[in-house]
Amino acid sequence: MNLDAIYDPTARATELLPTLRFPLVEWRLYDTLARSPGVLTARTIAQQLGLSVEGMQTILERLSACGLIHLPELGYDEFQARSVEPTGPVVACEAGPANHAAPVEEQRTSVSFTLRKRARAKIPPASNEPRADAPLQLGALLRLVRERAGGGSLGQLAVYRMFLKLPQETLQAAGFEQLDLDTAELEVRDRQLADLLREKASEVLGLSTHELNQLEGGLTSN
Amino acid sequence: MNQHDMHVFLEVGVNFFEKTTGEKATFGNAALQFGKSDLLDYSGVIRVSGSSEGAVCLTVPCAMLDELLRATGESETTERYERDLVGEAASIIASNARKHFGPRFAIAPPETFGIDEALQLSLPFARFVLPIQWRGYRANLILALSESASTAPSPFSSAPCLT
Repeated sequence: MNLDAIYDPTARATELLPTLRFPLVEWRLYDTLARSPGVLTARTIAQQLGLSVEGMQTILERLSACGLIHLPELGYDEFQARSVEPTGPVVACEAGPANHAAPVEEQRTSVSFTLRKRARAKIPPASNEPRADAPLQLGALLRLVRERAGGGSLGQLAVYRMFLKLPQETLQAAGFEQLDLDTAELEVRDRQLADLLREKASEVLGLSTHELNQLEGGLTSN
Repeated sequence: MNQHDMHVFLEVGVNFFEKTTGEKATFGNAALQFGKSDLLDYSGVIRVSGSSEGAVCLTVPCAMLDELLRATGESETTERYERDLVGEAASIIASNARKHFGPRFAIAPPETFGIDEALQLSLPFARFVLPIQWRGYRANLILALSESASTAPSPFSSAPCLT
């Protein structure tokens, strides 16, 4: 699969969805594609989800084999009509979770196949940040930090640095005793702690909190 | 200390096994531990000070030390030899770290602890624990650091603080 390509949900995707079961991260990937078809390259989505190149390849292959996504071939008119920005900013549809069930073709009409100028005018400002009331998926945040810091043991050490920045009292109050870096999957519902973890993650990665939230949005907006 | 600096300790730690025995060691799954650490039979501890404070600790079970001694042609596997070997490993880690960091961090001469003496050891709260696997045995390399000098406890204190 080509990571620099823009994959679309297939016409049959809506019909297939109820029959399929995937791990969480694979649904997140599909959901990101379905929310903004024709906009993001696979590589950009992989970065948003904190996935390695190999991990992204595997998931794309699975989704494609199940008939959920495909690489569309366009006529020149369609190409001109699409608002494709392979390396541009992350753009998300306005629709909330209910959009999952919306027919794929309907989404295309409102987002992808509008004339470029009109499409730009209609798309709301980037709002890929996690919902304020959504619990923090700590495992996803840690994967993001690891991947962005270079993966492997360097990535793991970046996670360690993130926790070194947290006050001991905070860690004790949260009841942290041990975190296995390859398997940690925790939900952090304490808003203050979640914000602090995000803040420290952004410090370690040298990103603003806003930039981190943009990257993290794809992970937690489900 | 950023992750690249920290990585120096990991590289030197894992390379010790290959350089000493000719057989590569591998990393296991790393974990963060908070307020407690699984120390094994013998530990070589290196104090670090500078913009990060704390200690780097290589902790090894007796059986692994005995196997290492045999692999290096040593027939004696007494307590003294086991302790000397973990001290030597820690010295190599410390020496390489000094070369890498120069004056940026002060790397103290290592000290060795048996499991019974480890109660004297007080480490900063958040620790990075990386298993090193070699010939089916497992040692742990522990980074126990603190970012701010003002909040870092001394790695050695009279208060028992192992757990």
